[in-house]
Amino acid sequence: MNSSAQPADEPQLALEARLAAEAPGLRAYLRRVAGVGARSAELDDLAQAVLERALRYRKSYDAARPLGAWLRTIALRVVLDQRARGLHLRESAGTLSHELAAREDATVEHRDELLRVLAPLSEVEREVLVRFHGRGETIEELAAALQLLEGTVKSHLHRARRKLAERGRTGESR
Amino acid sequence: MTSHNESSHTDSGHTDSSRNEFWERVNAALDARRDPLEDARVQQLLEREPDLLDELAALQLTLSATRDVTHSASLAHAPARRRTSAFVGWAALAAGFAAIVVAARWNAPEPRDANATHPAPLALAPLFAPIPPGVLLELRATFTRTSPSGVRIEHVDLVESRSSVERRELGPQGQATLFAFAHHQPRVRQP
Repeated sequence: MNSSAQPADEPQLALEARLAAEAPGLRAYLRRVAGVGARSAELDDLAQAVLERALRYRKSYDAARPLGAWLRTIALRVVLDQRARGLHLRESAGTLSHELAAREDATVEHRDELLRVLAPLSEVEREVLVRFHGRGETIEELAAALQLLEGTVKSHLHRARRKLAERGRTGESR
Repeated sequence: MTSHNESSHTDSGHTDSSRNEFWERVNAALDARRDPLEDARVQQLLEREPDLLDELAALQLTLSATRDVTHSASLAHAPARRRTSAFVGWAALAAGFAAIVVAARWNAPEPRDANATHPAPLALAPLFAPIPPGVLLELRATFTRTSPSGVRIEHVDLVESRSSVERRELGPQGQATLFAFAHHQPRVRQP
């Protein structure tokens, strides 16, 4: 059967074989990242999701890079998505994001909801964050527009991110 | 000062130095609009301190919502702005055309022999000939003048180079008692 495979299939078969060889190491990595309390079935599901995603995006794999590092990046994304779903934030920012992705219109309620999520930030932190991540403005553009040093803009941006990330540490949603 | 791997632990089990290093690298990646998870050192720190994933997930959710709301808001407002500016542009263009055509028509000398000015019959276009996209099919200016005797309505078709006039004369009770319609082509078509 293998001898009948077309040459064009060989790279894919080779990748699949290499992924299978990486599976035990991937599972151990997921156990460490997802937590020692992760159940076996949950680890299996995570490993399956990682391998599925790896095959789906195999064109993005740079053969010059170690396969293990690429898999670990995917594994982290999968676990990150899983954590995001589990966070209470899902009730606010997460739902907001999914609704907007489906409807592509921003109502006053959605903007109000986002403002509530961004409430822990100071006014300048909020402005810098929204303009950088929402509107795609650069640090240089923000510094010029707000008449601040680039380092100051970065400080506001970094502080804003840390404050928003704190919500994940405490599991806070409201 | 001990090495950052063994430095004092917080209540949540993270080392302050690891946490600071983690966020420095994440912020640097986000500032450069790169994926922080592709940073090998970030991967190591997450492996050592998996709880940092919860923080990163919370940040990712909020940034994603920020991007979506801002993008959707700009999508919602952009067409309205485009529609308004397009309408103003077309209205100004139409008014300009109408002014030019009316001025040219009123300044042109009246033909002495109406028969001599009638153009030769034009060949009719095929009824179902396809119309190329973007062709202006109709552009018409309407002028209405009122007087004690009635209302004069003049339509000037800017595409077909013709005009028509309606005249409505009012009776003693203000009701229309006479309706007149005139249609003429004052300009000679070039062969």
